[in-house]
Amino acid sequence: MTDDENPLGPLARSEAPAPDPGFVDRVEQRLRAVHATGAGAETAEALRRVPGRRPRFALAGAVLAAIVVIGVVAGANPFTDDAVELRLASAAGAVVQRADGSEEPAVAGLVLREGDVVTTGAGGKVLIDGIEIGPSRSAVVIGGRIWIIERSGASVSPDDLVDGALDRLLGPVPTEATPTTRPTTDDGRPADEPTDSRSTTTTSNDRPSPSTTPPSGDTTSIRSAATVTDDGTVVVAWEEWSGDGFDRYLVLRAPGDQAPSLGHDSTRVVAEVDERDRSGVFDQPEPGTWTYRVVVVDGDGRAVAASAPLTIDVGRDSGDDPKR
Amino acid sequence: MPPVIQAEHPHWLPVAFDDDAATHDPEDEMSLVHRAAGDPDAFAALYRRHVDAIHAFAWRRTGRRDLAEDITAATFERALRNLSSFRWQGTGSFRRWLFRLAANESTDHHRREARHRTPRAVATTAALAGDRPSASDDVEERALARSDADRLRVAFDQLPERYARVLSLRYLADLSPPETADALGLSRATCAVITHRATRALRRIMEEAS
Repeated sequence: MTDDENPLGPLARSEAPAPDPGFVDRVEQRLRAVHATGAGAETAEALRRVPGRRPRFALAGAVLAAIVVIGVVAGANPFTDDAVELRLASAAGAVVQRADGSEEPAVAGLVLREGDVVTTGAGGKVLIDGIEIGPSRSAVVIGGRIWIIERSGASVSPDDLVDGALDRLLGPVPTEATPTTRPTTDDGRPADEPTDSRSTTTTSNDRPSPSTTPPSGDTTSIRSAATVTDDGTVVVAWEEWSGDGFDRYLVLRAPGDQAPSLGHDSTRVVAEVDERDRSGVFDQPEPGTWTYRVVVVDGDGRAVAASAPLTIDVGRDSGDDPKR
Repeated sequence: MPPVIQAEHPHWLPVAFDDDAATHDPEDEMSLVHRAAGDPDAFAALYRRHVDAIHAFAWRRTGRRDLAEDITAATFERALRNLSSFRWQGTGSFRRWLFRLAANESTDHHRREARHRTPRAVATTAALAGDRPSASDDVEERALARSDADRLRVAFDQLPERYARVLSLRYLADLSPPETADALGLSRATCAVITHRATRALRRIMEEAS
């Protein structure tokens, strides 16, 4: 390959010294130490929730969490209407962190509820609905289904999220969604607010629903779901985009029930996920009502697909530090 | 959950500086990847197999041994922590994944450095761009500017991150165009467009600097 073909020719041809043997040994020892603690231990720690206090997520100093739901356990579809009861068929060396912040050992027969997180230890495993979750893993219940959770390989920096980042990333907005209006009950409470105060879940799909408006224009809708646990952690998950033109997912958040829109000042990009098969993020907004939306953008920054808006209430919990 | 096994990647090509990795038995590599999450020896074997290539990539990207070591260590630690998210997609897929992580680490490092860029580094960049050198015009910076590779590296660092990622995987890791696209989750057409634009942007920066 000539320099005409390879613009980095001088760099590519430069002789790279072999790594220092001592360095190679030290890194291997470090990796073995990390392995011994369980490669998923950090994920589990990040998910461990203390009642009345929000977990802190740190990634390159970002205030935003970027832990990713990497996929739905085989056969499960969180977007179907008929939620099923999730019960542990067997469990060993695992704990269940309830959405209310309590924790209990995972035992066979235990029923999992919305927002619960199952975390297995280094030698642990659980079996749910015929699906085994192996050692050092975590899974969360969203929409009546289990989602496996891992730390994101994507990097999110505050620099990507402020000061015109939207313009840089995306340019003009190809779609504009109508703000959502949620039905309410007689006492003014949102009709979709569950009687169980521990958590709320909302889902969207490619069929219009009374409470959401799918994207219009040339973009295609992707199905998504969101839940919030008692400690204010919002999990937004979506179906893997299998169409053409994928470059990355952007998760947008807007205050209230207004649909996040790429040209609006109040809309923030809370996560950028550049791996197609990673399909979920955690976020920790201030208490209040928020609306999320997932957008697939192509390499030129154009939106090629978007989810319908997902409006969700994040409750105020006592003793919480409002600063993140 | 074991990695998902998919069809052999049809566009795999051996790379020039990674002959050892290219000739490894793919069945053996797949077995190591499958066992690596629960077997530290298996992951260590993968690490030993690929550390030279990742280090070389990081060194060429940064031109500094200390940074190359930082990026190499961070790449493998990130790989270990995210191993369960890796999907086996045929021969070379683990290596491509490592390069992708290394490219991300390089980008993250550059972003952190840019945030805390010293006056000296700024002055050096300005000098390379043709500005009048001032007090920063010392021996060290002259040496830095002397090398074509270093001059190219300074220009490279001014590229948008996505451009830098594509070019580094394509031309420093020597991935083929399809491999680069797959590694970044891009369609091949999109990857080709970005590669073209990145190349053009790099040449423009170099021209302005000269």
